[in-house]
Amino acid sequence: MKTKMLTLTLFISALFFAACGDDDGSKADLRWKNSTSSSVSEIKWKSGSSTNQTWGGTLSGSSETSYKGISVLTGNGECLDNVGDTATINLTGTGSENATILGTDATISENTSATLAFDGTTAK
Amino acid sequence: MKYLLSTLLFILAINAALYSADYKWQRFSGKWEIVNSALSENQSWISPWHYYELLNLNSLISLNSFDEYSSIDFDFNVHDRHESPAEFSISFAVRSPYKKWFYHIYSIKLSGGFWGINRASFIHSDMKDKTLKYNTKNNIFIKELASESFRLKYGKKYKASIRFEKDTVLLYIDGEKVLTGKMPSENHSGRIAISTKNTKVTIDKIQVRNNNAIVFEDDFNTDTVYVKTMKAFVEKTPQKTTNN
Repeated sequence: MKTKMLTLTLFISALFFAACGDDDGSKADLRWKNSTSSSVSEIKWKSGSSTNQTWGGTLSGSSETSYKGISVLTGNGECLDNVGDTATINLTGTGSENATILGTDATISENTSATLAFDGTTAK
Repeated sequence: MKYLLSTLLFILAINAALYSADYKWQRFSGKWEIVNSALSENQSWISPWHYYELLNLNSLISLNSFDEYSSIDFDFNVHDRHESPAEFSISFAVRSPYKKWFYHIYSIKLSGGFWGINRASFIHSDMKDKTLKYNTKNNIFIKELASESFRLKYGKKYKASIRFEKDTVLLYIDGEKVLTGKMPSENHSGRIAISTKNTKVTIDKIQVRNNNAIVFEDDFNTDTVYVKTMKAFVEKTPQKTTNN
């Protein structure tokens, strides 16, 4: 009886920790890929009046960042390149099964991972 | 052949349109727009990058650098304060040690709280440790060289003039002297910048003068703000479940 109670207690504790342990509030995972020849120093995922996630470290041509969790699914990007120029990220195309583009914003589907890839610079 | 020629003409037309644009400023942060023939910063809240000071504010930097000038004149209206401190600054001697890392600035800053602008200050900012890489975060110092208390209303248009007399910088608002500051040297060459924090600002009729000669001017009758954009698309990836 004692052993059963102990096992049950351990099982409930394990469930409790499993439920609380990894919840960082993120709703989807996002990463960036650089398909251009120029390097990027930092990228921001912004929504409304706040920056929701940042990716630091130099992202050189033909490389990608690690996936990071985002808690706001609809947003837009801004980046700082190695020259010191900031650029707004102009999302183009129709999107994919896990991310849609509407105007300047992208909406990432919940519980999915998405990759946004740079493919060039331009003026507004 | 016909198809090739028309494609070539189309590309040439696009290039001509792009390069004929008369840009005078580059947007570095914030949401700068031309509204009713005036320049407005309409974001108000800031999203600091923590590299050089201009990137911690909503900033616009002139594309040209100015060597010889004696004054910067402009009309301005600080309005729709979002939170305190509300700040509006004009920077000069905006210089970079490398490409566009604009660490070196002198700024005339107007700041205020709920009731209105209540302070003018003259500040200097630059790289703190010049041995570190340009993209090192928080590697700056900000030194206040002079300050004065005075009052301006939000939502009212004023005329400002920043004048340079050797190593002295003077700020006049509606003809009245409100601040005097000393620079460590007479050299105020470099680009100029407009910055805001926690408030919207409208600017018009900006002129950089060397005595009576106009070195640079913008009345914002056309869109002169260059905004660099990076094109991106959604790459198709296999679906993956997160840990929620």
